Amino acid sequence: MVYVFLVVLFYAVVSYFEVPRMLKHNMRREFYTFIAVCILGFVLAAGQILDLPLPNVMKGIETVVRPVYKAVEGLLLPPELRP
Amino acid sequence: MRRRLAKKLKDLLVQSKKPKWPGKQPTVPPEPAPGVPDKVWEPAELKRMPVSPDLTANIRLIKEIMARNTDFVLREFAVGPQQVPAALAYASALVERVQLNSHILKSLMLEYPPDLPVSLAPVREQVVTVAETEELADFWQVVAALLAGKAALFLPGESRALGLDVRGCEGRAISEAETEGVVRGPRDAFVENIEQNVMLIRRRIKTPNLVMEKFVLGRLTQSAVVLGYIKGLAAPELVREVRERVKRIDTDAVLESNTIEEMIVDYPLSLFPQVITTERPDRAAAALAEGRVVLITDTTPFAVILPVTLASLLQSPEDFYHPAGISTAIRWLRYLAFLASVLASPLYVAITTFHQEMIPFKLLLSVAAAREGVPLPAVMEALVMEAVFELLREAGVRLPRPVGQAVSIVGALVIGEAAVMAGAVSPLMVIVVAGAGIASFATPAYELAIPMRLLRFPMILLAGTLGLFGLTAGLLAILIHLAGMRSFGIPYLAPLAPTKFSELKDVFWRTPLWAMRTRPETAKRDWYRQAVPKPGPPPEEKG
Amino acid sequence: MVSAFQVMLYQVTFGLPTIILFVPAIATMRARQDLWLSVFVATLIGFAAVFTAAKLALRFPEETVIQYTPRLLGKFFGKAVGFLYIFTFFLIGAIVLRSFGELMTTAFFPETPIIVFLGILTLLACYVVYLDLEVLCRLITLWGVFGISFFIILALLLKDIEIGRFLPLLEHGIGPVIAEAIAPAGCCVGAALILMVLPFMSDKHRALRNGLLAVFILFGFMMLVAVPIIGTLGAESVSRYLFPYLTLYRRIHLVTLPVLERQDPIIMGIWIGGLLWKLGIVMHAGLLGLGQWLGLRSYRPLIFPAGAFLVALSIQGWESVIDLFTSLGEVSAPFLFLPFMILPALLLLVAVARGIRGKR
Repeated sequence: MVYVFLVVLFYAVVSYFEVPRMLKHNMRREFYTFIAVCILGFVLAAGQILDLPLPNVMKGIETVVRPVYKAVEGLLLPPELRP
Repeated sequence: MRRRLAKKLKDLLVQSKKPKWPGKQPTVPPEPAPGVPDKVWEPAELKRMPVSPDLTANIRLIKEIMARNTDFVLREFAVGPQQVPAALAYASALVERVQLNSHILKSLMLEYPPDLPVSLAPVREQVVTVAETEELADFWQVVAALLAGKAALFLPGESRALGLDVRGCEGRAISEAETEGVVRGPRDAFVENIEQNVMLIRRRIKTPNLVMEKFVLGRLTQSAVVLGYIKGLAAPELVREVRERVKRIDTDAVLESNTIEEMIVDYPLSLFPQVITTERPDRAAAALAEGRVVLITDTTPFAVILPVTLASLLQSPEDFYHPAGISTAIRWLRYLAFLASVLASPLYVAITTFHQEMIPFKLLLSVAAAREGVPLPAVMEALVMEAVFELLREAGVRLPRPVGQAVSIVGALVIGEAAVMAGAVSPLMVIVVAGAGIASFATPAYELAIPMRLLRFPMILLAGTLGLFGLTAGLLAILIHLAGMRSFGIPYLAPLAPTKFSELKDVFWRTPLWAMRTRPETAKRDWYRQAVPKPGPPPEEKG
Repeated sequence: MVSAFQVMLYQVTFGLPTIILFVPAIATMRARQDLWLSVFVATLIGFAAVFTAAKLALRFPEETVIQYTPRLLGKFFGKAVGFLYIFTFFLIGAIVLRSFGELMTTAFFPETPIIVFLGILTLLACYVVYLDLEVLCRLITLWGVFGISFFIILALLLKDIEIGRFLPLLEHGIGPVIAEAIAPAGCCVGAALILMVLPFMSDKHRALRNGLLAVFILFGFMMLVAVPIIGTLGAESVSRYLFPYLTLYRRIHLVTLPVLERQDPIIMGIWIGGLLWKLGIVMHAGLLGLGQWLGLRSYRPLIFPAGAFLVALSIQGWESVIDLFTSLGEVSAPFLFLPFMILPALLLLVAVARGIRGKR
């Protein structure tokens, strides 16, 4: 729980410095992206801290890439080295 | 006895009950001086007051402006045989009396040609034997001239006053440099007088392309600031940029070159120096010859050199007065000292706390023996020792000179020795801190040594909490900061990063002078600096 | 504006830290004593990748890959490919961060929580990215001077190298050599990053030559790592170590200079720097790409949130150091072929077929 507070504090500090500057220069798109990235990072961090089940991007790539890799490996390796 | 004591106590109590502050006192308005209005003269107002042809009106006005100034003198006299009334105003402390008496008053009063009409042009052209004269149209100019040590001559029927340069200021004689000592090399140093400083540079560089532009800065101080550069060597953009930035300064007082420095640098919040401050005219001249720009401020012996790189801050003028090999060795010693000044104690803390496996066994034994019985952890020990060292250094600078020596003796011998004997600190720590302290004084630029010493404290903390990783992270942060800085367009770590291989000749080693064929990056506009062949004995005669 | 020389070091730095510390352990698993042969294969793959990438980038000298893919592939697919690139950069960032944290916690500071190292490194990287590409390249050049000097110490190990450890040659044929070239090649193809930095180069005509040179330098370093590792430790033990290079370094004793018993904390310091610049490179590329993908005027406000996102991603992505290592060899390295080799080749084909060129 302390960690969640720390994460919130970090985002608060960053927003304190960045948001006024963005609004002053009238950078709407930047502002929306900023909020999106913040929320994304916060959800990931909070999920990690509070053990929430979140989709894991790495596992996603793994399901796609690993079969390809295994197929290539099967082609190249001699039978006695194949796992 | 007891009664007496009781009485005293009672008195004390009663006293303490007295109201501490008297009630609000009736404010007495300051009595206006009779006859003289206490007027505040604004420059704009003075500028709107022209010198009038009426002499008495002028005298009245100037007396009003300079009211209550004891060092202001208004001498009224009659010119020549024609007996025309005139007035001469000057500030008594700023002028040279002999010149005033013999060249102005004598020639006006006694030697005035009888057939010459008394007006400004003939006086200026044929009578007054003063080199620099100027016409003053309004009272702002008159006052400015008076306060700069000139005399102002008022003649009837003239709508201009004549400013006569009879400045005669007492100043310090040219002496040896206090902060940048050298073994070999010229001994003279800048003084507080800007004209002498300009002279010191001009005596070294005798080219009409050496330009000394003058600015007057400071609302109150009206200090002269001279921007010096060599046309054809210094990059025109650099000169333009510096000129623009200096012109932008609008402040009350310019007393030291730091005022200028702080208001024109690129990164005002950085700890690191972004100009070279020097009191050596030879260094300033060398910088000019490299295409840099020099700013000299009146009333201070410290000139400012722009732009600056870390490598140039670590150079000493003496590097060029010794043989190349020796200079290279000394320069490397200095680089190591520069690193040691920030790294020595954090490294000691990190290694003894986290990475004992790095220490060879025998050394580890002596480290352990030295640290035995020391109550503080190494981090605290280092922080306290560094703080004490800084305290001693600061006290040594501030105290009157005879006492300063006593402080250093007490600090070094008594406190250090006693602390080790008492087991409060380990002797190794004392060695490390003292070594780092000495190393910091080997940094040629004092302005560079200060941030390094200051950065030691966070570095020690990092090293004490995260070991060598913390130390590396701290170093990287400093490095990123330095790499991100620019000084007037030149990257701070210039010849190293971005790498200019031809420039490294003056960084990693000091190339022999005859081999320094090309000018540095700052003076790139004209590429070759010399055409000297490699010196040596004459070729042997054949057969 | 950065020079071609700086970009070359930039490309080298992108591959080097990973190659030195992680690749030997992964690549020795099956190639065994033929690791040095795998290095040749990896270099060839790297040459091919950098060649296609440079050719593609030089067709559009004033734009990054994110900007011209929509023109090549149409709005939807172009944006999708752009997103893939941005995603790749962030993925590499997460890998870099996590592997750094794992190295620190396993090898040097077992009791400190990993988040401390990730946090500090990310903050430093954010600072670098804030100062922009030019400063990043300056720092890389500076670090190169330090870093390379420390490889010279490896010469002390020459006496320990036994030729017998490299035998038998090609025990199982050429297959395993090629299969295990994938991990080092995954780092070499990173030289295709020229796709992101070409618009900022001052002398663009040298892009191809210096890119190939960068891969060649990487080849030299890979040999410098592979040969002493196999030659002194033997393939059998290398495949068991988590960080064989570090183990190798711990063997070095300077008898004549008995100041430091072990140099591995020093190499750690050098390596932290290299990894930091690598993180800076991917963060800069990713954020620059993101900014161009969304048409932002500046990506600066996004730097710190993106850093936090990276930390979270790197912690979430893998369960343990073993998971990280298997995924590095079997998933991440092969995945990198897609954006750095296959996609540039496809894009180049499309560009040539449709005759599209960028502005000069």
